[in-house]
Amino acid sequence: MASGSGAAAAAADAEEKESGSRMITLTSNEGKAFVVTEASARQSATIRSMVDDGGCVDKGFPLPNVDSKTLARVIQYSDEHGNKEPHTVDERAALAKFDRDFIAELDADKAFLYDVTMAANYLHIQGLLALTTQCVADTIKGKTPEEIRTAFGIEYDLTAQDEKEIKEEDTHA
Amino acid sequence: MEDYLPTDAFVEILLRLPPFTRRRFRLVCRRWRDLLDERTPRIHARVKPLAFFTRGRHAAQLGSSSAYVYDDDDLSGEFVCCRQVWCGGAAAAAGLVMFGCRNGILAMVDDRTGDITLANPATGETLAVPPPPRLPRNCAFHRAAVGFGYHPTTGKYKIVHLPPLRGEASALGVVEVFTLRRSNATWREVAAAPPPAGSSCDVGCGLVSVDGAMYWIAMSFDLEHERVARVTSLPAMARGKLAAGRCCHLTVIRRRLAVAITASDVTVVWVLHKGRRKQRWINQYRVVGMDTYHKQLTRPYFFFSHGEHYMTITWRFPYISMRAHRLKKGDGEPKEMALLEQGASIQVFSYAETTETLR
Repeated sequence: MASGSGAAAAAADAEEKESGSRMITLTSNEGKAFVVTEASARQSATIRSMVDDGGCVDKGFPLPNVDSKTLARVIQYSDEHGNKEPHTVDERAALAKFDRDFIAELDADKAFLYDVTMAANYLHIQGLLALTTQCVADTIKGKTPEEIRTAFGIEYDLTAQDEKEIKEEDTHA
Repeated sequence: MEDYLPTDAFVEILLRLPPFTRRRFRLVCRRWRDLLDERTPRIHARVKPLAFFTRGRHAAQLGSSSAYVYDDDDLSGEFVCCRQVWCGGAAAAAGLVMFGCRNGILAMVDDRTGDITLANPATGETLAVPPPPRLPRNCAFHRAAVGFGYHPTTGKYKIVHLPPLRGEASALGVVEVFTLRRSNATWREVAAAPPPAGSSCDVGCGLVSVDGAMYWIAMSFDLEHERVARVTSLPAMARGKLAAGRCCHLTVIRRRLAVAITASDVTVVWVLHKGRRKQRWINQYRVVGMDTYHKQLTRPYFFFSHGEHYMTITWRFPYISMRAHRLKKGDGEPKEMALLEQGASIQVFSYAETTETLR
């Protein structure tokens, strides 16, 4: 990952296009530009389809829904997964360890975890979305409905009739 | 979180919850209920009979305790297929009996040591639970006093043990409870008020869990609030038979508590219906051709495929056979589902495969 203007010489550009290692500029909603490899950017299905449609590769991609802090973290994930194809058992283990450390760090800051989840959802980065949503699911799965309402400040709006129906449907053998 | 995240991302989270947790979270609020109903799959697990075979203790009878599931829709079809879902280790499992099955989780107890094992065959996960502190050792006849229950709205699994009663129902002063998925889970004692005079209390007819409570004759234990209460008195006929003490057992039929009582060659099945204000026992089924000694309904469960079939066990030296019958007459011979050597025992539960976790 590097930041910069992304204006490269035309010859070099063409060469990179050939080898599939073009650089792509992503711009956060604060206007900060991040230059990443195409392989890294292609982790995002949203960007992948825009690139394949022959879109504005040279102009870069503005991402109005993602702030700089979140984008930097998302790129950290995409670089790790996009730039290296794990071939050996050791490489796969290293990637799994990266994922574990990555999510452990996010788990400590829930608001940021949701930001990254949102960005992964918007950019359609399937692996990252799976990682973050699984993390949230693991946090809430042991809770009772009551605890969920308290934790997220949700107002109880089910009627007595609704509640009765749910409980009746819920009597699974 | 849920008004912070876009719906799609929120649904991704809901999809990653275990299926039974999803069912439970429908009680959070309207938005959660609607999203869970519309955007996540329902539980499709079909309830199937699971037979648990405990081999005899004689050296000649090889093999250990094991559980088999019958997948066929038509239990009385031409070929009845079954598959082994669980098998105890060689020697250790000789005295292992099953005492409950909820959401595809098997609960078993070694009747010599009191050690409890829980297993989910679908995921391969197992969990060892220490014996209930008040469980008498080496007392096989006390084994009916352990139950495994599930409370659907809180999603809690609990093992319940009723310590020996010293002959008197009124001596029941305590219930032992073990809650799963707690850190540092241990057995807890819950004080139980003695049942009112004149009510019967007999754990010999089994403990069954349905609808968030654990039942035995004629009491219930609320799995959420942990309170013992009296169940609406059994039908007069049942009370009479209870005195005789032999052929009465608790079961679950279509998610309702039921009791099967055999007198001479007829088994009458009473089902507990809960009205708005009071509960009522209704005489719902009659099964003829039973014999209190040689032929009985399987325990604790015997009704399957939506009540179309019932299962029986027949003792005919030197074999024990388990069969499926159609409730409607004139549909041919009952099909044999299993044949074991004398000395073995068979218990039947209803099994719905899930990926529920034990920890």
